[in-house]
Amino acid sequence: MKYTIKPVGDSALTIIFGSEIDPEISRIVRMARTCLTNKEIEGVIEYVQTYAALMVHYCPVTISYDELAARIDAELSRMDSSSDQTEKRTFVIPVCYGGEYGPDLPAVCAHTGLSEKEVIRRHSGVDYLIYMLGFLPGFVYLGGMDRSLSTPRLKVPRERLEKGSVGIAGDQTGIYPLVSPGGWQIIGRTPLELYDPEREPSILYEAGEYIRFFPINETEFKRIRREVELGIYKYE
Amino acid sequence: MAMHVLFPGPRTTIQDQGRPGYQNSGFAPGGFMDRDAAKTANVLVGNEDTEAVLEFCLIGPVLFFDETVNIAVSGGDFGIDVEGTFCPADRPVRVPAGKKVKITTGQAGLYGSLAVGGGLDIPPVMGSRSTSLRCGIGGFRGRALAAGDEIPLRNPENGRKDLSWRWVPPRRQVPPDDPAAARVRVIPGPQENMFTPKGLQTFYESAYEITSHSDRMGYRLTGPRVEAADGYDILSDGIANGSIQISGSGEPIVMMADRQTTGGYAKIASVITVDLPLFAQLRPGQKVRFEKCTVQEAQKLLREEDKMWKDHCRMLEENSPNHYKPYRLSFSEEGSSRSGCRSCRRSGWAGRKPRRAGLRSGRKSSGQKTAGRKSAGRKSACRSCR
Repeated sequence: MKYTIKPVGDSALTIIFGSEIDPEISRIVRMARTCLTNKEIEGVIEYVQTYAALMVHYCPVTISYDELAARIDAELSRMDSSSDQTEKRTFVIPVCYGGEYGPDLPAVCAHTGLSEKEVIRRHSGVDYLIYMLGFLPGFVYLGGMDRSLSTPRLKVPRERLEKGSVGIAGDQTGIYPLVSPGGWQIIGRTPLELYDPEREPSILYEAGEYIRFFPINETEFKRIRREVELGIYKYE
Repeated sequence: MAMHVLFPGPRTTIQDQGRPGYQNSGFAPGGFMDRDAAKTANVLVGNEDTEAVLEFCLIGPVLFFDETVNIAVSGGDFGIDVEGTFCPADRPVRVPAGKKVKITTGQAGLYGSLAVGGGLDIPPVMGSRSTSLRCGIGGFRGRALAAGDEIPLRNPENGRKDLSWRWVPPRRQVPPDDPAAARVRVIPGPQENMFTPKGLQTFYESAYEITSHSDRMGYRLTGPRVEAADGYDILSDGIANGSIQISGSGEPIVMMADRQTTGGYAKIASVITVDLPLFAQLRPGQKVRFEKCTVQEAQKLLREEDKMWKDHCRMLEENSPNHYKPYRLSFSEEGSSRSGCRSCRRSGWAGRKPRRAGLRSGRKSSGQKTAGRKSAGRKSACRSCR
């Protein structure tokens, strides 16, 4: 396992494991995050996992860059990257495709030449790896979308995307956890509250886990929405 | 027992140290834009230096309090106008109940911090009182302040204390129209290698102007294009406070408190923590030059600064006039000159009437008395307190 450690200012450093989007590199980044988190290194504030790097935010008054880099080096050299203990966890997200909730589903069908049913089947038929979160709280960068669903972004971005909107942009698919402007082709919406500051944890999934979309109809959407609002919905 | 907002100012929010620990979920930590200003204002009014403050941008709020309070403002060239009486920044000001407080704006600086003695009674969300406008959480109802807001005070008792003796060492300020541009130190990397030698030379030798497209998320700069060998896009990775991205236009963006947690532009360098408050105070139109610094140097500077600050805070606590009260009581009322202990606080003093509410003047004479008492008091600490 190869990596380089570089400073990012005086209060953060980055451990670079590679330079491409690759499930194997992502797995190693996640292992390194778990390994270092478990060591509870004094002075470390938090770890941020991205596609091929791990950022470490720390307090330089407590630990210097040189000390921390040496400590990380020692811990990672002891880590056995082949023995991954973490089990695969898949988070199921119910999505109501098309209609009012997915205004761009016809556009995606037109661009891909697939029927609505087929787009839904292909979009909900896979487990997507969460490579990283960023941009907005709970916004996921997913890998593994069927290439046949690729559709370019809207030419004119929408000023308002409802929270829970599920969309496609080029080869990517993702969900907007908050109301936001955006140029994604919106094909559906989830009734789940993906980000809730009052809930513990506020965000229900993390990098390295998987997401699967589960098609539901409008009646189920409204039922789940009610359960979510009442706080009785069981997340899986 | 509340702070009443008469006029909020365009972008006034409540901020504290921020909300670290959630960046892996895409949640920016936020918090003070100018950490030094917030610490200063807080310590002047007797708060912990991490207490939540009102942070305003260029134009401050107009307020009144229905209780006598101590307040202080710090940051840029701001002042406090209490119904016509001007009080400078970086000094504690005792504001009587009902008096109108207006923040005045001077020639320099962008962000101001206004601390209220005893703190604001705001529930923390995810461990912080900072307002995140993007997520609509924290601060006062997750939004910027508006006229008519009433923000409860956590400990209005603070207003009974006279804190006019408290002081802080002066901070580095950028002159309003420095032709030479402010100098800000940066640590190179982590994607410095994506830039050509010519690009790096441009970056370190040019002055960049702060544009009006600057806010709590980041400051966009304009100036000579920084040349990259093969584009500015990277595989998205983490962003630190003060990281300098070079965007597709070839111009720098300095990422600030409400930045995104990850990004896809190459980072040429990061502003060092010690210089970040100074940088944050640059107004649109002002210029900045970047100077290289090593991570070791930057951390040494930060540790020195932190030690000086902590020593100063300790000194203020130890020299607090409240600390000498038992001795003073015995000195003036019992006539025995060396009997009291300066450290073991006893009753007696509590029976004394609180000082008259009002803006204090004649600060000098009371300060001199305090100094005299201090030296006498030191001798008289009992053995257990020494």
